[in-house]
Amino acid sequence: MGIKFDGEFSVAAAPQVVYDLLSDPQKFAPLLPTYRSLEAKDDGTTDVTVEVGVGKIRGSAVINLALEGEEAPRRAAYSGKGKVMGSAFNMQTAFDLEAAEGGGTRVKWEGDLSMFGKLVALAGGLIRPIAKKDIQRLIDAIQAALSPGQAG
Amino acid sequence: MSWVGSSLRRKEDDRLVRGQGLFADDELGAGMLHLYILRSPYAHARILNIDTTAAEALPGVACVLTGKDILAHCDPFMQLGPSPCDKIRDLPLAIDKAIFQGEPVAAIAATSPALAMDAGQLIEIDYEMLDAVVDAGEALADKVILHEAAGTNRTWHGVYEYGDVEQAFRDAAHVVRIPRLHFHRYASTPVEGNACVAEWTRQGTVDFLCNNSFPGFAQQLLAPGLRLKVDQVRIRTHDIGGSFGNKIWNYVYMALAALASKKAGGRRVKWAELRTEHLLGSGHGNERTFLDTEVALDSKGVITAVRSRHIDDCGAYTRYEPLGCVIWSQVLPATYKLRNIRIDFTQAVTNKCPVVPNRGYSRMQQLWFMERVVDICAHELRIPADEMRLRNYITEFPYETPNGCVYDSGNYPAMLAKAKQLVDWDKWQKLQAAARAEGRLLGIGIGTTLDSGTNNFGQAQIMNPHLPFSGNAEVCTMRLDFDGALVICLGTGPSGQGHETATSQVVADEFGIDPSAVQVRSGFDTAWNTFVGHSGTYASQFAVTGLSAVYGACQKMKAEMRKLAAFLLKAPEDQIEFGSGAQGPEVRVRGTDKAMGYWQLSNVINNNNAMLDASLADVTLNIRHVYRPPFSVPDTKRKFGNLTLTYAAQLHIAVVEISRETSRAQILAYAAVDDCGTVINPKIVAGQVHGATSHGIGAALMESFNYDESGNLLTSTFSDYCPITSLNIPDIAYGSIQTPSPFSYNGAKGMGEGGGAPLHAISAAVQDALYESGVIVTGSHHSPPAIFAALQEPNRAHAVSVK
Repeated sequence: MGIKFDGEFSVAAAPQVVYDLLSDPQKFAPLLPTYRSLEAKDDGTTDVTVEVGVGKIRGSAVINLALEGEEAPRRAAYSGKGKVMGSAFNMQTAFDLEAAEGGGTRVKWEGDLSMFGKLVALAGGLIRPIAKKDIQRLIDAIQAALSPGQAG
Repeated sequence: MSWVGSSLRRKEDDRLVRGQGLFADDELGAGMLHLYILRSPYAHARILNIDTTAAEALPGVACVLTGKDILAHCDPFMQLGPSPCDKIRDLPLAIDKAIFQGEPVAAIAATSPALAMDAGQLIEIDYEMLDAVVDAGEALADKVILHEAAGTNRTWHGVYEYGDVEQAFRDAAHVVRIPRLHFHRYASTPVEGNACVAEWTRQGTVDFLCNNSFPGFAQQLLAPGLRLKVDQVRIRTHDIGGSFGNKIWNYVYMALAALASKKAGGRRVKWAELRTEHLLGSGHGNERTFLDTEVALDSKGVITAVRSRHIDDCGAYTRYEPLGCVIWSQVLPATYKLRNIRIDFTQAVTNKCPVVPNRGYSRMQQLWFMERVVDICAHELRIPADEMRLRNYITEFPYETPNGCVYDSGNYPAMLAKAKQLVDWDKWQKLQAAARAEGRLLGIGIGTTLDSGTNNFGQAQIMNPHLPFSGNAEVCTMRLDFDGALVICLGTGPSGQGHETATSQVVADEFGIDPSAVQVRSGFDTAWNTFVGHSGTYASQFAVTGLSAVYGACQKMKAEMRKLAAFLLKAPEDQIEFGSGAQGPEVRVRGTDKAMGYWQLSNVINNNNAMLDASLADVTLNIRHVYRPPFSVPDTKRKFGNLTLTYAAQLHIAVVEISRETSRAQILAYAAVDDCGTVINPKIVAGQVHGATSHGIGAALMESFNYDESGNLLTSTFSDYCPITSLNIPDIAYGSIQTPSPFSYNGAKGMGEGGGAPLHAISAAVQDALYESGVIVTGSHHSPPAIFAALQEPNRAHAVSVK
């Protein structure tokens, strides 16, 4: 099951500031709406633990995030993979940054999530709206972090 | 009075409705372990590493199995198909690659099911995801290969050609072309899932209590797989909560439980499948695509030839397949008299759950195909649906089909007349006209189907000439017990078909006694039952093979009892008669009051035999009879021969209305007429017909295994798969006719697999409802989304053409 998302938003911060946040898992991961913990790995990747759930099916998932193809201060891209409740998922996400009028930054983003296994079968129809909602929460959190007083 | 033909209440039901049945999952025992199977979330992925450390450290976990254990203790299961099937490595766990979502990758035996499941979550597996192929047509391109050793996904190919197809097309008044038809993937959902309890004994043998429905066959597969002699594998069954063919193949999981028991030091290990596991990883029915179909017809609408290309999707492993590549040809022309046929048949593996025999196995797909052909031609040539059938039905029996099968008996026009009467055809014709005038979508469809029973296993040689199979056989043993009861032991166990009852009826008639005096052992045990390689409950055969074996045993037992009674009662053998007296079953001297009870005869043989004459040395009152149907080995080059002994038939008529608002097809009226020859027990037959009809209606309207492009099964719970329930089953107007088979001793034909008729009838009814909207029904599943899509994009312009 594949889900593709994309969109764009603007923040008041300058591209370099935005890039510094989005390209650093230590700063970026805590903005995930169901973030629990983070562990830097020796291979340069980061294990991020988040809460996941559909209805009464709840648990935690560990996402192994790898920063790939960063291009300061214009692009930050991650690949990730993980498993949760007998299921597995792969994800690709990228943020493309452009300077905006007034010193801010326009962020174009896209994500590609592929899921496999029990969770897809059990709750395939529910995952898309939940993922959409969580992504919006993530965007809101990024905006809040980079445009204090403007988000929401 | 005759007990055969009476609706004797099922003897089994007292036990079953009181909760006194014994199913595999009922088995409990001190120290028993429970098996949890960890399955691949991916449809196609390489297994890079498995770390079981945390799972094995969990208190209560007895052992964890991975591919390494399997390779050390297990050999690949035999595949029935020819090359390249023989290169497929089929083991209870995936070794280095998983090739369908739900394939077992590891197994954990622990002291409770919950603990085993928890331990499963602690196993770390690194996968490398690979591209999946879920369409059989695409699989044949071999861009993604499932079994590298085989080198191709094409697992079987053959051409079935009979008559003079080219000439028939040259002579045709009309040629109808149908580019693509598709029979969807669904299966059965027995009340009881697969289950077994396995024990690797101290003697190095394996003891199974399970619900396998073909244990004699399973034993032959399990023994070499587990590196044992056949007799070292004991398989027992008791009550089985439905099989529909699906439980033939659960030996794969039985092996896994046995290996877990072995690794756990011989502790008993139980595996009871969860419903999601059943839908995801047990077995599905064959999915089939029919391409480039061309139909030749004469000026009256009589079909003279069909040529087509069929692709069968057997999922990830071939196993019992590609037997399905031949079995469909038992019903090559369906119920129609065409003589010129060319079918190019190919089977492919895909990254989906393996297919297994499923009610109507392989024949149903062919019958649906032929029904669609007839139905589409009728619409295109503007011939009424009933008239089209009557012009094309086979009417003389026995009838030899173009490929040498012999339809034993039947009367399809009479069945059609009866079904029309039951459904009130004329009334619905009028209502349909009125509904159409109002813009409503109301359709009436006919489905005629065959339930071929009692296989000639020689057909396996058409598929693979190296297979040592032909004919068929079944066994019955019978003993006159100390108390005078006739104790019957069958070569096979039932899975809901009522063997105990039907057997009792036959025996009661042969001896002139009450069925209550007949004791039919429930369950089956390879250690104690006598059986042959064909023994089993499948392929609609018990009424012929099973009961013929019972009948033969009755004759042998009566001969012995007659001889013994003649000696004891000092009368000629031809004066001995059988019946019931004041004290129950007895033998007596005709025209006298000299009689002996059965218990007295048994006592003489078993306890008090010093007075017996030497001429009675061969009288043991322990009988074994093997029935062998009259088959010969088919001509494998021509693909010609009699593949099945009997042909029961079903004719269904469905009236459906399709909502323009919801696209839902609602059944307004339904009639089902059955002909299974001489009926042993009308109540059991009616139950089978209602069950099969419900199953088929579910398949036509609700049930479908839907995979996404990555090989995720999207319908792996009952919420999504939507099995039919009593709330969805319409009132069924049921009737029957009886055309006795000339090939069985009692005129009976095997039955119970008529699940296809609703698919044919509902497809035809949906076609009738949508034809004026420009829709040609090319699929077998008529869910609201499918109908909605059809109405959004009417396909007649490219789904059919007529010349």
